[in-house]
Amino acid sequence: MGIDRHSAQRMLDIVREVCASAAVADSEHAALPQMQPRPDLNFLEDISGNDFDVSAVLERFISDAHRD
Amino acid sequence: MHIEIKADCRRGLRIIEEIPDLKPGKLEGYNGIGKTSAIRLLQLCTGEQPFRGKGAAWRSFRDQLIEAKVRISDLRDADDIEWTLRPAEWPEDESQYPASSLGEIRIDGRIGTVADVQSLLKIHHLNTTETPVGILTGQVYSASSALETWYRAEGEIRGIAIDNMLSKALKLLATSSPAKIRLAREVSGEAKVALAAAAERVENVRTRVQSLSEAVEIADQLDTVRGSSPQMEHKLQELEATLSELDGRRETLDREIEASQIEKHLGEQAEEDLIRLERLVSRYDGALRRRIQELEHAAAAAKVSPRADDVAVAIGMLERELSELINAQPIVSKGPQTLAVLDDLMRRLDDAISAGLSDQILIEEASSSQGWSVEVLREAFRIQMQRISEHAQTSDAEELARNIAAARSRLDALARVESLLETVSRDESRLRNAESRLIETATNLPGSVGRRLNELLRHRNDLDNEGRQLQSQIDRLRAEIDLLGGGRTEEVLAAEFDRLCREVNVDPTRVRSALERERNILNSLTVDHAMVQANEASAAHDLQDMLDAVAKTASGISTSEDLAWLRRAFPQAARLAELSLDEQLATIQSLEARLTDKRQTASETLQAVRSIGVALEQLANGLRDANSSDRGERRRRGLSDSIETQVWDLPVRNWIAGQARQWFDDETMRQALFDGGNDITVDPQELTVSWKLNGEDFKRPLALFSSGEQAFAFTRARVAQLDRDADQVPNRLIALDEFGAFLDAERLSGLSDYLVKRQERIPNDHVLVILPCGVRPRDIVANEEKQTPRDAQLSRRGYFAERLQT
Repeated sequence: MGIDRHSAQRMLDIVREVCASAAVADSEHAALPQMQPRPDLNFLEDISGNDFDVSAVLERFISDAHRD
Repeated sequence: MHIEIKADCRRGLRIIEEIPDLKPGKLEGYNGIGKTSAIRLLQLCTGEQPFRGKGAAWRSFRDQLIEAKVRISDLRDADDIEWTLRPAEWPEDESQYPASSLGEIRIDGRIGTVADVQSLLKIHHLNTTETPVGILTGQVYSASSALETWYRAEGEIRGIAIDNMLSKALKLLATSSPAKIRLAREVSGEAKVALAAAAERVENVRTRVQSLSEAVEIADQLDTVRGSSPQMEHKLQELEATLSELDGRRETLDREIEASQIEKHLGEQAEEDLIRLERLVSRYDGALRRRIQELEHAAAAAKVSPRADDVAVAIGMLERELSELINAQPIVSKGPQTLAVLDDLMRRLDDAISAGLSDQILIEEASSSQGWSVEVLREAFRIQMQRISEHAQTSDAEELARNIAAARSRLDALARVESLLETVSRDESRLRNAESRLIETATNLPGSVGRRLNELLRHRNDLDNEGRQLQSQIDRLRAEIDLLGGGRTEEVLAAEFDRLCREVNVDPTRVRSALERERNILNSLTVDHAMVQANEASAAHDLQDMLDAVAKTASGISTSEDLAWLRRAFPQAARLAELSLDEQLATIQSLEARLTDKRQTASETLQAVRSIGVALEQLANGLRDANSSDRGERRRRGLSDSIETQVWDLPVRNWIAGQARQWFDDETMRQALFDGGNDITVDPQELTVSWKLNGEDFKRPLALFSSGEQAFAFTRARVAQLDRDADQVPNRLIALDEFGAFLDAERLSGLSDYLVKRQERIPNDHVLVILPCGVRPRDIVANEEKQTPRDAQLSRRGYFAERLQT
């Protein structure tokens, strides 16, 4: 059974929120060692899209015009 | 909404069969009748997992439920939804649900999916006995489940697909690593320089060896000249004296012959004949003497006696010798290069042996079951190297060439001797004929004149013959004397020897040892040169291979259908094949760096999703039971306290603290839980709540928000929060379980009143309160005809449902 879009969106929301919390944690604990690299949320959004096309995702991901 | 359930259960599991479409509804029944199980089953139908973190309860529920058919009708945006559930197909691990099939779903008679259901229906199960921390725990489990479910169902597979594509492109690029090519260029350049230097060293030493060889040869000639020349000169003088005496006798004889001819008044014709024949003999004699002189010089040069047999034997021997020398030439002249190749191969085989490949077969022999293993091949190479080294010193190559040239030269000289022998033989024969005819003519003269002349002529012939032999010996001796110094005098030889010694800066007394030493150096340098040459060829070959690989990579990147995405993303890649080599390398390097970086980002992103999911689950486990050992549970599910998970611990705590703060910082909640306090904060590390009330600071662990009064207020607050309708679905069932467990009649009435009014405000929500039955079975009238509808339901199915009244 594949994942439903609602669940994928919920996953994205949670990751975004946790990453935002991580940014807060970083700012509040600046003296601590650097956190783990953040996930690329644009890529995560692409890869969890409804009509996953690996070539299209890679093209956007690698392209200079990528949203990062 | 109207809910019907037909559940086939075993052992103790029971599930109520109907929830009528009563808004707001009340469902009251005996304990164990299956009220809560019905709500949980409905949650499962919508793809939620109400047993999250309760593995034992899940497995029990799954095992006891054989099959269930659920139908919900009177819905908005759909007539009905029907499920045929097959619990046997559900996963044993509650966290895996709903990774596999629930069973069959039909929406308005058509096959549907969980996603379709979730767009239509949401089940909220609010247990009024639940504490804030319990609810937060559920939220964290739910978040963890969302991440893990997505990762398992899509993330991992899609991540592998992305990685495979990137890996394919990187693999192609890696065959043309700019760093490796730059290194290969450098190595090739250095190898060329090293080869030039090695060639120069060899040439310098070779020149010295040639000079020293010449010096040694001249030294030998000098020794010969100085040792043999005086005796030979003395002998020459003796021979010349004898020849001179012989010439004197011949002249006397000539005069006698002439006088004899005059005295006897020869006839005119006879005189003419004699004169002609004598001239002929004289000319032939002169010619023969010159031929003999040539022959003697040639024989001396060819170091052979001027006899046909000796010359034939010498030619035969020399031809065999030359043949052997020519046959030996390849192995000698190519020896250094062959040694270099073998040395290189042996080093490769040594590496293989070090890597434990001694017994690995490298060459299979079709005609034999055995093959050439690494070790056997290496031994064969070693023996061959030894053999070549023994037979093919580098200096031998030059000596061999000299010997071949010398043999050819001597063979030419012998051929000339052979030719001259034939000429001399012919000339001798011709002379003998002329002499015979002269004697015959004289013999034919009349009387004693003829006899006398005959004797005189014979005598002169003998003297001529003896003179020619003497002359031959003299010529031979002169030729030998001339050849002692290669045609040079002792003075010339000495001057040349001194010049050569100065040229090579060697003491004249040490030329032989110097030659030996320089030959050894030449041998060593020639072998080195051959190895440097092999290295240069190998480096050039490697470089060419890499350049070929770059061309192949450029072509692949520019044209491969599989890499069209790369060309679209990175337009320069499309023109890669048209660029110069340096531009290609720069582009390849840039592409490789970018793809590597993106591959890392993709991997880290997916790893982060997984790590956040695990960190959330660990946090939920900690919240659920601070004393429980969740390590065993994690191990069972293959999770670990990895660094990646640990670093997400604080962010997920911050996240849930933020969630809790938003949840609590709500007027309803603040009134319910904090007596209207404000400035509510949640400590993510300690999971404590702080607030201010009337200027005073308060702080309390989340776990302590669990009194009955707080539970009531909290429940009401939770229902109120649902007013915001974050679900965005047309149908919601809000079930308040264990309703009134902590409430007195007054508060229960107040809450019911709130729910009735809420139903009027939000008619699309179906609120259902569930509570235990307050009527004991024995209090129900046995006579069915006299039973109230409520008692009838209780009597028939153990629960009753009715509209909630204020």
